Amino acid sequence: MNAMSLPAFRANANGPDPSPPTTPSFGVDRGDSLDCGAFVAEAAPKLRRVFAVRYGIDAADDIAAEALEYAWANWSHVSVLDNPIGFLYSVGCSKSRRYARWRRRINFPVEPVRAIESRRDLFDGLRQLSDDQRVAVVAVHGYGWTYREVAEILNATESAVTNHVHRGLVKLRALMGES
Amino acid sequence: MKRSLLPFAHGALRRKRLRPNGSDQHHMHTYESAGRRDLLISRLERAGNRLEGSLVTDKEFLARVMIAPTSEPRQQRESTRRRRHPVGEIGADRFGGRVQSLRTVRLGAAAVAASFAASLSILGSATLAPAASSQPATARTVVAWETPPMTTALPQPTPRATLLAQAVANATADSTFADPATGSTAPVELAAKERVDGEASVAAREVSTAGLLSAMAQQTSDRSGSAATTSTSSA
Repeated sequence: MNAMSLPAFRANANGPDPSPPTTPSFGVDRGDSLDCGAFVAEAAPKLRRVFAVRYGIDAADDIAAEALEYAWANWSHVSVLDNPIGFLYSVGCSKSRRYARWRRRINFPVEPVRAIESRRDLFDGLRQLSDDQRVAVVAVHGYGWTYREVAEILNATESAVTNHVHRGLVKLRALMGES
Repeated sequence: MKRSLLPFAHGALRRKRLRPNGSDQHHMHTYESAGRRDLLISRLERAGNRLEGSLVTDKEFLARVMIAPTSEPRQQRESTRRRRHPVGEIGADRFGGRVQSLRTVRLGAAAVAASFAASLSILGSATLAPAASSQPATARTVVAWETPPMTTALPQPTPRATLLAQAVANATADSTFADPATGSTAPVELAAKERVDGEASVAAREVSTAGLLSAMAQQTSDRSGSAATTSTSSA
């Protein structure tokens, strides 16, 4: 076994750790007893949802799993970071190259016909946004996360997220024909 | 006049700023665009719910990712990853699944081993199942199970062993055995006792020469008392 100590995966198929984090931060509780299992249980759903917006629903699980695998293998390094979930988001973006190569079309679910108020598909409009704009718009208005939460997971500032959301909505309105 | 003193920040004046098309920008934002904004936001909310619903559940995902890998040493996990065919691709090829989805189980090779063992039992390969193995199932052992055991064919008796067996069967007290390999002649008893070539001569080696010779002597006495000397030839 290498010198790097293996983290203990306490959480398993029973689901995330039911004990909520003590801090209101979007990330994990940065107490001394931070273990990899609790971190993965809390960060995995958020990473999967963000990667689903950025790279599509078919690649989100795999990219999130690769990012969490990196966290597991390098937990001694990841656990001391100020923003581990933001770091893993960057790791996932790097790991996604094999999935997003050759500019593949991002796979999104299809809107049901009865839910379409306009003749333009919302997911087609989302595809035409930049990656950061699409993630910021869906995370804020689709998932209902706060700007601070989105800024933490994207490893960006709140002002940057605000700009992404604003410009993304403006572009989306133009694409939807609502401007 | 300084720019900061300009009353642009005042709401009353800002409402009077007109857009190039002549519409009031502030009025547009307050009343008309509010409805369209809510419509777009509601569609985004439904899109977010639909995206979440299209993913696997959190429990399923965590069950796939967090498969207590502490039982598997890190070094072995690294060696498994460096193999020509990763575990996931082998499983995908075998079961027709997606490589991408199965690649995520690299964290827990034990789960892959369990699935392989289950599939092997389904296929009826009970002899290959590691039921009696005391070691924990790993991907490496599972791959080893895929290879069928080599069947070792029994060696055929050598000509020398065949001749020796014939000589023993027809031997009398003073019979000799001519070795076709060396050309030397030796009594049958000594030739039968020596270790001959080939595993098929086990029967010849196990033959009790004394008992055989006594039986031969009895048969010889039964044959009209003529003690024919049997000499074997190498032909």
